[in-house]
Amino acid sequence: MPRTNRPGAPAAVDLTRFLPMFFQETEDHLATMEGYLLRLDLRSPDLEALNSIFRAAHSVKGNSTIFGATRLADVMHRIETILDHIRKEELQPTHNVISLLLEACDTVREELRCLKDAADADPTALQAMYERLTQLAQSDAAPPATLHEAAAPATRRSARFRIEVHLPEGKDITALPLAELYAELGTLGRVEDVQASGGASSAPALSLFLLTPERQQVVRAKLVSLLGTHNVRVERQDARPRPALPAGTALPARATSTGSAAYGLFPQEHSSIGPYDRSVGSVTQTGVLDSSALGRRSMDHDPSGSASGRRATDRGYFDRSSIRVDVAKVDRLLNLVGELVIAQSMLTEATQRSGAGQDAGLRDSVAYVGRQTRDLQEAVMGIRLLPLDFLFSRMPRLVRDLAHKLGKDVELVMHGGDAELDKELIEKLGDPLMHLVRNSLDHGIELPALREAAGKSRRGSIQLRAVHQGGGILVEVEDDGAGFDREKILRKAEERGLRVHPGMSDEEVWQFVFAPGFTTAEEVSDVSGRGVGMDVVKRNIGALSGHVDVRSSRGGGTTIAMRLPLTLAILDGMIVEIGGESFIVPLSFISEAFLPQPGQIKSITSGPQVVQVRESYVPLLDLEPLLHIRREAARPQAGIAIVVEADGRRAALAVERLLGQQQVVIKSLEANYRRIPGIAGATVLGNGRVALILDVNALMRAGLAPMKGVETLEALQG
Amino acid sequence: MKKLVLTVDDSAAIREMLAYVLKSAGHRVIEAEDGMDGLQKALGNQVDLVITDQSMPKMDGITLVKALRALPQYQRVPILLLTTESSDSMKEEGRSAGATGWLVKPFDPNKLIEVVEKVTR
Repeated sequence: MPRTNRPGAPAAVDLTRFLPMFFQETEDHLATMEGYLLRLDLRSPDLEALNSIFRAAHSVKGNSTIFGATRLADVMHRIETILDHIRKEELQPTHNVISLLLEACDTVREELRCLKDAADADPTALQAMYERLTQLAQSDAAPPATLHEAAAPATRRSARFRIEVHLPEGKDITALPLAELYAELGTLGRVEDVQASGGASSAPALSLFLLTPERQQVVRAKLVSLLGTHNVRVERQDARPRPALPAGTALPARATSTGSAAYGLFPQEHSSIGPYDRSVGSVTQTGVLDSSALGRRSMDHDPSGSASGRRATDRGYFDRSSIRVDVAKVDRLLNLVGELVIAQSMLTEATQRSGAGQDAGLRDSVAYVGRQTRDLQEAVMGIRLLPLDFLFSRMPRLVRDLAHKLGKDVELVMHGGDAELDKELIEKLGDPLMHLVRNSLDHGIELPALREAAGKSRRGSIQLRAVHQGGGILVEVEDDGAGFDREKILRKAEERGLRVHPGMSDEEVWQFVFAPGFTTAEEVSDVSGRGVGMDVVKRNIGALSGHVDVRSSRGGGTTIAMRLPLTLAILDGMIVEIGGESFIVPLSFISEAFLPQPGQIKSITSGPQVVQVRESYVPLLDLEPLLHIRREAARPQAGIAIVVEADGRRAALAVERLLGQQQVVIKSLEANYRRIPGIAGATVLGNGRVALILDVNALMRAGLAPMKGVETLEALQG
Repeated sequence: MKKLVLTVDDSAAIREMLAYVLKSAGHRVIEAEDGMDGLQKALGNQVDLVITDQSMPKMDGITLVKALRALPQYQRVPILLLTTESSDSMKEEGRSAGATGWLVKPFDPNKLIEVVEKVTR
C-alpha cells in the first residue's frame, strides 16, 4: 500500500499484496453500478436501487484513495453528488443522465486498467469527464411535474416501514429475542436508524426503519409471530419518502479528506451513548441472547438465503472460500493431467497386450487408476470453467446503447447465464455473440412504427439462451424481428455469382448469409451490414469445433444457434482408419455410420459420388485425396460410410475401418508443428501412436467445393 | 492483552487487510460482511472491539452502532467507524450514534494498532 506503508511500519506489514483484491473489487463495484443503472426505471427510480448504486460508487471512491488515485476519487465524488440529486428528486434521471453515468463508469474502468498495468492514462479523459459531471451536478434541472405521475411500474418497489416494539411495564429490551428479530429483519430488507429508549414506558423500547419490497401485512405477520400481537407496531411511511441519506453515505462538505489525523476518539460521555443504566448489564444471563439459539436460527434461516444470488454478483469472485490462481498454473496442471491420461491409456493397452490382464489384481488396479485419472481430469478441467454470465453481462449495455442509437425499443432477456464452459471458449465466443446481438438489433428488430404496422408490439425482444445439451452447450440468440427475406437473399446470392436454384430448402438459403462478404443491407450502417460478420462468426465457431444453425421465418424473427463443446482440451472421438492411418472423427459431428451396399453409391456428373442414406442422397467424400494420402494399389475400397453433419449440410466420409470410440486429449498442431488444412489437432493413442483429428467443417467445405470449382483445401483456407 | 475484534466491512479486501494487521499484532478477528451480519456475530460472541465500515448493504455502520448500543452487553464496548473522509458531519453522526471514534481509510497499519490499543486498554 504505497500511501500507508510509511517508514516505521513493521517490515512484515506489507499491504501491497492486497492491491489486486482492491482492483478486482473496484471492478465488481463498477459492474454493480452499471447493472443497476441499466435496470433503473427512469420514470420512477427505486430508492433501494439508487442506494445500491450510491454504495457501489462510494466504495469505488474509497478504493481510489487506497490506490492513491485522488483524481479518480474526485470523479467518483461527482458521481455521488449526481446520484444524491436523483435520490432527493432534484434531478430527473433521463436517458442522457444515465448515459453520462455509464460513460463515467467506462472512463473510471479505463483509468483503473492503466493504474493496474502501471500504464499512462490519458489525463484529459478523466478531466473531461470530471467537468461534464460537475456541470450536471451543478445544473438546476428541476424535476418535471410528471415525474411521479407516471404509471406505476410492474415490479414491486421497496417501501419504508417504521417499526416500533413496545414492552410490558417492568421489562427491558433484554426481554426481546433480539438475535432472532434482527435475523428476521435481515431476511426482509434493509434496516435503518435503530433507536432504543431506556425505561420510559410511553416510548417504544425499540424503534427502527425497514426498507423492504415486502407488503405491510407480511412484515407485520413475521414480527408478530416473534414478538406477539400487542408489542409490535408497523407503520408504512409515505409512498415516496424523502429519507435522510442512509447513515454513513452522507456527503461530506469537502470532497476528500484533508489529510488530517488518521483517527480520532470522541469524548467519552456515557450518558450520550446508551440509554441504559449499567446495572441492567447482568440481565444478559437470562438466556434470551443464548448464542446456541442464535446459531440454530442462522442455520435454519440463513439471512443470505434469497439474496445469495445477488450477493454473489455484488461481491464478484471474492468469496472467502475462493482463491485466485494464475491461469498459466491451471493450464500447466491441465497439460500434465492430459499427459497422465495418455500414459494411463498406454498402460491399459500394454497390460492387455502383454497378457498381464489375466492377473485379476493387476487388471482391477489398472481399471482403478483409469477411473481416478478420468475423475482427476474432470476436476482439473472444472477449474477452468466460467459461467456464461461473463459474456452475457456485457450485453445489456450493448443493447441499450445500440437500441438508442438506432431508435429502436428492445427488451433483452437472458437465460442460462450460469451454464459453465471453458475459459478459452468463453473468450472466443465473446466476439461472435456480440456480433449476433448487434445483427439482431440492426437487421432483425424493426423500428417501433414498423412493428406496430405489422401488428406486433412496439417493443422488440432479443433473447439470449444457454443450455447444456449432450455433453456440449447450446447458445442461442433469438429475435422477434423481421426474419430473413428468402427472395432477397436468393437475389443477392445470384448477384454474387453463387449457385442458386428455386427449389433450395430454406436451410440451404440461410447458409448464404454465411458466405464471405454477403449482405442484404441496402445501406451500410456503421453498426453492422458491411458484410463482414456472419462468415467470421461461422469461422470462429467452427474453429472451436462448433456448429452454427439458423432458423428464421419471414416476420417471425430469427434464431441463430451455436453448438459448442464444453472444453477444447478433450473430445469424444471415433477412431477410424483411412489409407492405413488412424484418424479421429469428433463424435459430435457423427450422426450415423453404415456399410453401404454397392447399389447405394451413385456417381453424378459434377462433384463427388453420392450415397443413399434411407430416402435421400448425401455426397460421399473420399478423404484420401483431400488428406493427400497415397493410395496403395492392393488396398480394398473404403468400406464404411460415416454420415456427418455440419452447418446444416450432410455428407458421408468414406473410411476403411472403425477402430473404436475414445475420449482423446487434444494437442494443438499449430502450437507444436504448423497448421494443416483439414486437421483440427492431434492426439496420442493408447498404443503410443499419434492420430490426427479431422476438421470436419473444413473437409466438408473442401469436399463439396468442386461444385464451385475450387479444387484444394489450401485454396479454401486462404 | 490480546483482544477479540469484530471487523465489519462489505469489502473482502478491507476485511482481509484489517485481519492481517490485527492478527500480526496478536489479536483474534471475527469478520462480518455487513451491519446485519455484524450484529448477529456480535450477539453470538462477546467481542472486545468492533471496527465497522459505514456504507454497507443490509445495514449500514451507523445503524449497527445504534443497534449495538441498544444492547446492554455492548454499551461499553469500543466501536470504531471506518471512514473515507473525516468531515465534521460524519464525526457528528458517529458521535451521536455512540461510536467511540473513527479511523480514516486507507489506514496506516501502525495507527490502526495504536488506536486499537488505546480504546481497548
